[in-house]
Amino acid sequence: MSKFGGGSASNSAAVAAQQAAAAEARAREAERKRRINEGLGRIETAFADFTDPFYNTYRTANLDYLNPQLEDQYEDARRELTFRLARAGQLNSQVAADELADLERQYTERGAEITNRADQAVGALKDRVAATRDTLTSQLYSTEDPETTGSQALSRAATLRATEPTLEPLGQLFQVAAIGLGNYLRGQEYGDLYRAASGPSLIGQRRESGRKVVR
Amino acid sequence: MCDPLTIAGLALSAASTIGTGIAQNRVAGMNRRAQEENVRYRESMRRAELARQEEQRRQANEAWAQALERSSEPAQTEQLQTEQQRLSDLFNTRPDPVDDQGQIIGDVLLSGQDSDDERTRQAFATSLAEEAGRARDRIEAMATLSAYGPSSGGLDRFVSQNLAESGRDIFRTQSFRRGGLNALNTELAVEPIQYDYRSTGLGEILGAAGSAATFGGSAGVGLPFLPKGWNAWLTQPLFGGSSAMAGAGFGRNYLATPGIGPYWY
Repeated sequence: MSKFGGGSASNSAAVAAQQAAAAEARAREAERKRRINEGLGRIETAFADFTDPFYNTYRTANLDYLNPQLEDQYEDARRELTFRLARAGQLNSQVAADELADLERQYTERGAEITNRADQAVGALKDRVAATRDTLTSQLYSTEDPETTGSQALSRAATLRATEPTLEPLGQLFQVAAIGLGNYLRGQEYGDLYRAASGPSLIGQRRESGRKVVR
Repeated sequence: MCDPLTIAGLALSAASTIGTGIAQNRVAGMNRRAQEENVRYRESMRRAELARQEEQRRQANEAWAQALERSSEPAQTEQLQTEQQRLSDLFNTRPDPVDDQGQIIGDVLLSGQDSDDERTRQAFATSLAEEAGRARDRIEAMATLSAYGPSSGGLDRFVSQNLAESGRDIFRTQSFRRGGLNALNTELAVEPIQYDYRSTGLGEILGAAGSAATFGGSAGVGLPFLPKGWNAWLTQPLFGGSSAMAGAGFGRNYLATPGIGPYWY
């Protein structure tokens, strides 16, 4: 200040407050970023073991529940087919060959369908895992609280890890043909011819209209 | 009017005016510098935030580009083929019931079926191979169909997960950009320091003294606190005759000093 006069800041307190608010806003934003990154890291850690081995185990668990039902029904169907063919005297006929091959095809197809079902269950579980992660992430952005989000992530991940396969029985898997009287008579006829070991082969004749599917 | 007192008064007034002007100019300079400093501060804040925004934007673009690349047509075709193969391997777990030589493998035949007769075995092998082929075709078709959507690594899920993953990254950068802009707004709200001129009083005192001296001198009355002798000397004109301009009521004449003129007023 000179002898005549000088300048004095009239708004220094207001400017200081504005500068402090600006510094605080920047610091708060940096802290918010740090908390969000930390929370995202915690979510990532909590869900780190949802990888192929985990999903393979879940698929196997599904199959372990479903496959025994398939095997049981397959054995029952074979037994039933054996009885029906035996009752019709056609165990060694073309009808028997066709029915057995049909049963084997059903067995292969049902097995694949069950595996497909188990794989789709894995897909559904993957969707649940992804949706849970998204929910936790949204909560993190709202709360900006990595501790709470982290503990929730651990809890949710534990729940998802303990997810059990859907225990629904498979229902009727196989259709075994009813071997009718017409087939029986034809089988007898063919059998006689076959036993005579002469004439045209019995084999190669396709099954006729006596076949009826039991549902 | 060219008396010493008037001259001194004018000098004091001039000194007051000049001194005050210099001081005010100095304050104006302080304000200008404060304004410039504030502009520099705001500009640096803006540039810093711009750099942060640019970095976040780059990360978002990168995440988006990666998602697009992972979901590109060649990538989807590759994923579809990989998934088809995986499902095919997963579904085809049963070995064929008939080998390449047409021999039935394992105990597929039912109890009581004649496995010794060649023609019977051949008939069974043919039917089994035929149906196994049909089963294989259906399973392949199922694998293809599932690979497009509902399987665990199906195309639909694959693309959705890719987009969701990049969406998470983009959302994060978006959140940081928004937060950064909020902080910037607070930073830009900082005003420059405002300096106001404060007088010490010296200028006013000098000004008043100058005015008084000028008046006293020009009116020929001197200054009341000075002795009469001093006032007589101080009010004596330095140039010209004895006549001097004087204010009314002081008993002096109003003749202008020759050669100087009345414009001294």
